[in-house]
Amino acid sequence: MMNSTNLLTIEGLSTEFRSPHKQWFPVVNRIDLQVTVGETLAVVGESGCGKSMLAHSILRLLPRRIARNAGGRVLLEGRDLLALSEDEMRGVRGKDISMIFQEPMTSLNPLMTVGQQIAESILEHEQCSVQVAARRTLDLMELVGIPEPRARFHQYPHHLSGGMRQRIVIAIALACRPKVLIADEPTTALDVTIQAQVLALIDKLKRELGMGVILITHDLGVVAEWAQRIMVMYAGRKVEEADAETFFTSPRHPYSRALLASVPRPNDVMNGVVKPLAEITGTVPPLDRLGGGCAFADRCTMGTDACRSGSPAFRLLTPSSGVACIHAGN
Amino acid sequence: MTLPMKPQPLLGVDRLVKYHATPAGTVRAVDKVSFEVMPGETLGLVGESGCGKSTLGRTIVRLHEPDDGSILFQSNDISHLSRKALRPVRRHLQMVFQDPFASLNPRRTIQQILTEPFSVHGVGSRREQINRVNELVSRVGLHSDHASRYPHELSGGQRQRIAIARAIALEPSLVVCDEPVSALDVSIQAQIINLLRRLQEESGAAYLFISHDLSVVGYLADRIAVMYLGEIVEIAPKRALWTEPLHPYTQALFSAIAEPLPPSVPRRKRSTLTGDLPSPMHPPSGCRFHTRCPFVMPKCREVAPALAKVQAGTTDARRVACHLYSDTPEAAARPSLLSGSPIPAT
Repeated sequence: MMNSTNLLTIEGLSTEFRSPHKQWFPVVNRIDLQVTVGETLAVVGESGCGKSMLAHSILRLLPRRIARNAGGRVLLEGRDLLALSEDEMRGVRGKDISMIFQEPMTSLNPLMTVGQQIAESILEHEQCSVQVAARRTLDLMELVGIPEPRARFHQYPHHLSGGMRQRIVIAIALACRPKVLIADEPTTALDVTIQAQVLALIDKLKRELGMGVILITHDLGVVAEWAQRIMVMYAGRKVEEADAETFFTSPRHPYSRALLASVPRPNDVMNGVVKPLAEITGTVPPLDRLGGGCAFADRCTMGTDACRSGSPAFRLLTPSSGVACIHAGN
Repeated sequence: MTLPMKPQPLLGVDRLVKYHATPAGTVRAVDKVSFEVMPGETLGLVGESGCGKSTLGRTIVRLHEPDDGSILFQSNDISHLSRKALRPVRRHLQMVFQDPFASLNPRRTIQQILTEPFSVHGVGSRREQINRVNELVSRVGLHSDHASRYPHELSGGQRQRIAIARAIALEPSLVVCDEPVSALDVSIQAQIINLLRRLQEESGAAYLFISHDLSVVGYLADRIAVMYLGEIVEIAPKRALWTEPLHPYTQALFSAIAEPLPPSVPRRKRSTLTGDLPSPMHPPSGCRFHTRCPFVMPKCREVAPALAKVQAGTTDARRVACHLYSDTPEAAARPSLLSGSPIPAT
């Protein structure tokens, strides 16, 4: 899956957490991934599967008291972020890689005007005058579709609607024209009509600015409409990766299939088909109590003794897709 | 020859009004809303946050006092019944809430939580109540061991099963479900949705199913009502609404659904609404949607359209509140709206 336009290449990234019993256990387990210019890679899975941990590990945002890197490399255009000092890393965050979080209210400072917050992130990373930063802030506000940017500049986050706040968060993330944007559930807190607006905006800006996007979401509909490639995570591991067409036509991992079968299909509704939804029995296992085998085995319809005896390796089925399941056919 | 009897609605809501007084002004959460729920059917109620759908649900079960209008339940006007007078009604009219963490008393075991409906309504002896609780626990797909546990010992999905068990304990004829699966992971959502469907098949209860998730509502509902800023703008049988949404807001709402299909499969034309939901404290004049409507006409700013049958002669089942469908010259000039997709591509 190598490509000459790779922006971000992650090899064998592992992150461990410390349990209350002082045991270290993996929450991100030997993840490989690439993001190329102008591409959206979706990372999907249920809560607790490790998708947000992956994002935080890439940006080294996890508290060192309870989390540590346990190997791997995060190469941004060839430069290993894991080898940088904390000072150097601060220069990367918000400049080369930006992140937008789920809840726009909590990622904005309620005591600063939205204009100040956008300008702040420009001034943080670039040598420019306050006037220049202010002018660029207005441009950014216009870019993300905020009406009357001059009036909005002096407003506080609580004056804005959820959709407008998320646009401000996006403007901050894009302030320094990052190469990679990590969007962690960017529209989960928003209404459907606003969700479509925000995702269309991210997609448009991605193409205009030539960014790579990592879109973390549990919403497979959103994935189908906006991502070119999909990576499915389960219990901290990559269990499947494929381009969008392959993934939605012929998902290979039983977990991917189960996820797809568990959501109501608008198409079925229109055609008057109502069949019971597929249920995945049980819940995501706690990561500090994983056994040696496939973490999905106990919830899997295809689970066998062989599944429980060893963790299945990720293997390529085609040059652009692969799966970590011993039963996924060739 | 005898005429077929018109079935009596289970619930009849007529010009219901509920305003919330806030320090910033009066929020017109529910504004002259009328609809009916027939016995055994599922009416889906959709709309974006702030449209008043939860307030409507809570007013119907009388957690809020209505400001005007009436609620007819099993042919009795319950709009202004006292707490005491409501008690026998509540047996038949139950509610399931979104947050299974907040809706169960953390200090009580599941056994105690589920016994409460029986003891409140004086149903059965102590022994019978225990049996009924065990039966309920297994009906919602849990193990009898769960009865001795506290809510915090259960997962979100299991807690929602308990909340559902409590709601169906006395075999109500109507359950108002307010976003019952929105707080759950997709795989757990599927379990709860299947459970609600199975219980309905067994009991014949009607559901008023409130959700912002159109796919879920589409899956469960027989008919769907769409709310915008405190009003119902369209109500129709599910398939009619999905295949041919009439109100421009409904069209935008349905075109925004992201479908989990291969990218090569053609999608609905997307109509991206501009602007945000106006404040429900100061709803726009005339049609409340006119500030965001791609088909806005001068009349829309002045006159609020009534929720009415689409054309003379069509069935009562399909109603829409939009001037495009009233018998006016402007409407006649837009015949394409009734056939095919009228949404301009963006």
